[in-house]
This record gives sequence, C-alpha cells and structure tokens, in this order.
Amino acid sequence: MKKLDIACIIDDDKIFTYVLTKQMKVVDFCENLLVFHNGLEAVKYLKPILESPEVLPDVILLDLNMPIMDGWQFLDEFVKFKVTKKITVYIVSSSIDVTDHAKAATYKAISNFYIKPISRENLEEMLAEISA
Amino acid sequence: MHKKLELYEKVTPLAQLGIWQRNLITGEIYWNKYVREIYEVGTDDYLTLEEAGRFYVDGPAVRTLLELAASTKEPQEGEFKMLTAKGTFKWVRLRVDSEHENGECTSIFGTLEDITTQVNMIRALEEREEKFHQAFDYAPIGMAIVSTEGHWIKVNNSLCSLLGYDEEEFLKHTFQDFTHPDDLDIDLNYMHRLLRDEISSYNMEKRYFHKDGHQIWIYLSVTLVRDADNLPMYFISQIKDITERKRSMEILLRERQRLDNIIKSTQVGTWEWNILTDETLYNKRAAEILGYKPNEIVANTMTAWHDFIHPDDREINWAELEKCFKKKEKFYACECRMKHKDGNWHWVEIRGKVVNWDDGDKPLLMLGTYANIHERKAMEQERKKAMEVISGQNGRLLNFAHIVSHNLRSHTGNIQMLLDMITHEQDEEEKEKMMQMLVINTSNLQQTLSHLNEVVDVHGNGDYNKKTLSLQQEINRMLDVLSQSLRQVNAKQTVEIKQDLFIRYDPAYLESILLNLMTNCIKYRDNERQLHIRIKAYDNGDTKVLEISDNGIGIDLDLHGHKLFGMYKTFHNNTDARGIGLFLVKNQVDAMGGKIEASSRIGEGTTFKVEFS
Repeated sequence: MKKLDIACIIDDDKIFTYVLTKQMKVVDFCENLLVFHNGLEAVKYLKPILESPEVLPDVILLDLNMPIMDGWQFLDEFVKFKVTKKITVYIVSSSIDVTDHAKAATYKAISNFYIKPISRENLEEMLAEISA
Repeated sequence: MHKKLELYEKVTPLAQLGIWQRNLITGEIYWNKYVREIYEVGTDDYLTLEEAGRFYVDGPAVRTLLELAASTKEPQEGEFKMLTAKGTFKWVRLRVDSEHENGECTSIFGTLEDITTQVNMIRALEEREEKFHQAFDYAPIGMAIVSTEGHWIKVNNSLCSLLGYDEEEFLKHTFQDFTHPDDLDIDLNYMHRLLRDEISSYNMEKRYFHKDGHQIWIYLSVTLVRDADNLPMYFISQIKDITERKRSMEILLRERQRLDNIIKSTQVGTWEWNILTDETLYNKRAAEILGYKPNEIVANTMTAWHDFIHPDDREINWAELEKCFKKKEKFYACECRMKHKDGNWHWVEIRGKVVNWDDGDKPLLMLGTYANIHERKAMEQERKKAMEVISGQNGRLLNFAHIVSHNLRSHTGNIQMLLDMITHEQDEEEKEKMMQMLVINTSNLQQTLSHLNEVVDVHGNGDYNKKTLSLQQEINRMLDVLSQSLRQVNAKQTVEIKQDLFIRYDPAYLESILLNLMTNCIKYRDNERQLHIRIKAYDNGDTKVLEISDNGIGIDLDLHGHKLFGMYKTFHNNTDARGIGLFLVKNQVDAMGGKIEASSRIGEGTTFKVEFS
C-alpha cells in the first residue's frame, strides 16, 4: 500500500486526534498530517491553497459535531471549492443517528462513514481504497 | 137510458176509449170516433171483421180472442200490435164480450184502447231493468243490494269472486259478518246517518274477510234507495278491491318511515337544490344544525346557505362543488365552518350528489346532507394537539437517545483506542502520557453522565413542583447571585418590569433559565464595550414574556440557528462553553409548556425571549 502524502483530521476531540495521530504513525498512513479542531480552522487553511495541489490533503477525516463550524457546514463550504486534486472525504463520527447517515449519503464528496472508535484496520482500509 | 147514454158520451173522450159493436145477425157495425182514430181510417169507414183483422200483426190471435169470448160467453181481453191504415205501429188493448139469444151468439162488442205509450214505457223499463241486471251481474267491481238491516239481497259475480262465497252463501249473511271488526263501527255509523237522511251517500276504505280468512281491503260506495214516500228500501253498494293499492301504499309508507327514521337517527339535515333556479328545499334538521327553527331561517336558495359558510372556507367549498359539477368527483364533500345562530362557527360536513344532468352535461338537481361534526372536529383538533405533544416528546426522546449514544461513544471510543495504543506502546514516557489522557477522558465521561442526569431530570415523570413565583423577585435574586461576576466585568443592568408578573413554574427551572441566560450574557460579552444586560418582563395578554438582551458578540443565527439549543453545541472559541446551558433551558421551557426563541446580530448582541404558558 502506498503511503499518502498529506492527510487531514478535523475533530474537536483532542484526545481522539492525539490517539488517531499515533495510530496513523503505526500503520504508516501518511507523510504529513494536518489537524484542525473545527470546520472553520480547516476552511481558513484550505481556501488560500486551493490552487496548489501539491499542498492539498489527499484525504480528510471529518467529525460532525464540532463548535463554531461543524462537519456539515464545513462540507457545504468544501463542495464550493474548486479543487485541483482529488480529495477523499471520510466522516468519522460517534453518531449512529440514521438521519446523519442519510444526510451523508446525499453528499457526493463523502466516500464513507466511519463510526468511532477507529481501528488500525479502518485506517488500512482507507489507505487501500484511496490508492486503488 | 138516455141520460146514461149522455154520460157515456161525455166520459169516453176522457179515456179516449174506442167502443165498438158488431151485430152478427144483421152485420150492423157500430164504431165510435175513437175506434176510427186508432185505426186511422176515414170518419165514415166501417170495416168488416176480416178487413179489420188485417190491421193486426197477429190477425189470427185476434180472431181467436173474439171466438173465445163468443164460445165461453165470458169477456176476454188481449193486447195486440197493429199497423194502422196510415202505417203506424200501435199497441192496443182489445176487450170483448158477447150477447146470446137462444144459445146463439148474436153480437160481439167491446172496447179498443191505444196503449202504445204504456207498452213502450214498460218495454223501456224492462230493457232498462235488463241492462241494469247485466251491468250489475257482470260489473268489474263488486255490487250488492243490501237490506236496511245489512242482509245481502243481491250480489254480483265480482263480489262473489272477491270474497270467495257463492251467491247462496252470501244471502244467508249480513255484511256485518264479513267486515273486519275494527272497521265495522265506522261503517254502521255511516249507514245510520244515511238512514236518517243526514247524508245521501258515503265512501270509505274498509276490510272484509275472504272466505279463506285473509283480509281484503276494499273501497265502498253506498247509496240508499228510498220509495215514493221517502222511506228507506235498500242500499246499493259498490265494492272495489284496493288490496293491491293498499299494500303498495303500506310498503311505500313503511319505506318512507324507514327513511325518515334513518334521517332522524343519523341526525343529518337534508337539502335539495335546483341548480338552475338556485331554489333549495331543506328539512327541519338542516335548520336545527345551525340553531334555527325551520321557519326562522331564510334559506330558500343555496346562495343563502352558502352565506352561512365561514369566509375562509368558501373557496374550498366551491372548489369541491366544481369538481362534482365537472364530473371529476362523483360526490361533493366538504367540511367547513358555518355560522350558528348563537354567533359561533360550527363545523359542518356537507355532502351531495348531482342526480339530474341535462343533455349537455350541465348539472340540474343536487341532493345532499348537512352533518354536525363539531364535536368530532373538536376531538380531532384535541387529538392533533395531543399528537403534537406526543410526537414532540418522542422526538426529544429519540434526540436524547442519540445524544446519549453519541456522547458516551465519544468517550468510550477514546478509551478503547487509548487502551489499544497503551498495550502496543513501548515508550514508557508515551505510555504515561496516554495514561494521563485516560484519566482526563474518564473524568469527561463522568461529567457527561452528570449532564445527562440533569437532562433526564427535566424529562422526568412530568410531576413538576409548580409554585406561584414573582418574576421580579426571582430576577432580582439571580442578579444578586451573579453580582460578583457582574461587578468583575463592570456590567450595567436594566430591569424593566412595569407591573410585577406572577407565573406558575417550577422554581428550580426558573432559576436555571434565568441563571443560564444571564451567565451567557457575561460569557459572550464583547470586550470592546461595557456589557449592558437588559431584562424585560411583560404580559401580552395570552402569555407572560421575559426578554433578556445583551450587547455582546452575538451569534450567527443563519449558520447556527437550527442547533442553537442542541446539546454540546458551542459556537464560539470560548473555553467556558459547555454546550449544555441552552439545551437545558430549552428543555425546561418546553417541559413547562412555553416557548423560547433567540434573535441576534453579530457584533451587536443577542436577545432571548421566553414565553411562559
């Protein structure tokens, strides 16, 4: 499996992002990792670099419940981006609410929906899918 | 003798009696003038017996009579038809006697009388009698001659076959024997009035018993025949079988009664609408549904009825009618409010169907009903309200279940991942760090559980400890509690309560609501300017309203409005934000049956408006 160049986590849960980061290292998930604690931080970061595919992430692991700008609001901004690179988006959330899952299905940009906790196998699965 | 002759001469003209004599010895003939008039011969003509005999249609019979008189020496009499000299048919009565001398008949004499008129009359009478008998016997309806006591004297064939008796059996009975006991008194009463000459005839419907026992309905017409002295002789009865008519009538009446009962028991008002003329007929109940007596309401046109419909419901009513008129729907049905006499709007269900169309498919006549559905409608609305409450509660419960699931999962997921990492971690320092995180995570879990407990408390069993509270007092108390924090940020407060308001509320909830909203004002103040908290309370008639406004940083409601009151929703980079305060406030306000809403502008401030039910 090919290691990803840049991965991105958007999640307000600091313990989760810490542990996920460690897991990514274990499975050799990516070369570089970006971590944002809400949607707005991510938008602010990504917007100016849309024209530069070499610094854009290959994958975004997106939480839904976050302060300031949640996962849905981020997605609404994200779909407006004119991205110059294929960015795979996974929802990584604790929500088992069917309405959230149904809503996720309406976004073309979302490739899959993972329910926390995330295992190493989950990460390997993502890796396989993206590099396929 | 002479005198007698004179008298005789005088009397004969009165009787117009012809007198004649033939002397059989001398051949001498005497005819008075009436004989000649009867024969219609000349004044001087005398005819021989033979000649005279030719005038009679049955000459030999006349001769026989004359011979009989001569041979028996007894006067004889006969009636004969004759053809006179002028060719007129006449009936005459011939009387003849004879005189004898030495055993020999010397003369015959007698009278001749023109009885044509009497004979014709009798013939006519006989003919009439015959015709009557024919009519009587073979009349298609029953006819009878009945004695003044009620005995059948004569009955016709129709009557016999109607009652199943033959004539002989009839004549042994009275009409009373065959009459249904319930109808007898009326009949007898009529009969007696007829006999007393109070009435000239009577008609009635009554029942007879057939010979085999079944009832027969008949229409009876009775007249009384009186003699010359006006004394009652007998009754003539005409009897018509109306059993069939009566049966159809009874069926019809029963049907009608059944229909009436159905209409009455279903409590529907009925109407019939001539669509071309707008003329409308309605029953009593139709008027009653709107609280009127039938003659009180002016509703002889459908337009008048439609004027009773609530203005907001008229359009839908017309739309439904149109559908029916254009044959898009078979039936017209509409629920609408109609103005009751008491001034209130009552829910009425109108239904109808076009029963007559012209050739061009234009509706001509429509029949329909009004049904009072006020109670059903009220119940429906109550049920709808209850459903809203229940589905609201359900929604909140489901939401709560998701919150519980989500929030517990976040923590347990972390714990699971941490434990997994710890077991694989070689670096002791890293292990220690992750152990620290595990501790933090566990305490977060504890905190979440206590939050959930708070929420469960709000959703409790609905057995709230409501008390009458003074809003003014409670607000002042909370400002007191927060006075330290308010002083710290140098906040300014304005309380605008014109008149103290009292509400029935759970004291703990009111405290929580006030505390959370006021604390939010402090938490989300704008550091660029002095915090100003404005608290207003007023009564707007239906509800009592509390408004808490600040001049803080504000919330972007376009972005966050839909989840403003959600659990663990935070909207600022504020470390104090727990995402639980507004969620609890919302749940507490809902639980008390009130409403809460927010308005805000970024950089200007936020207002929360609480309506107490």
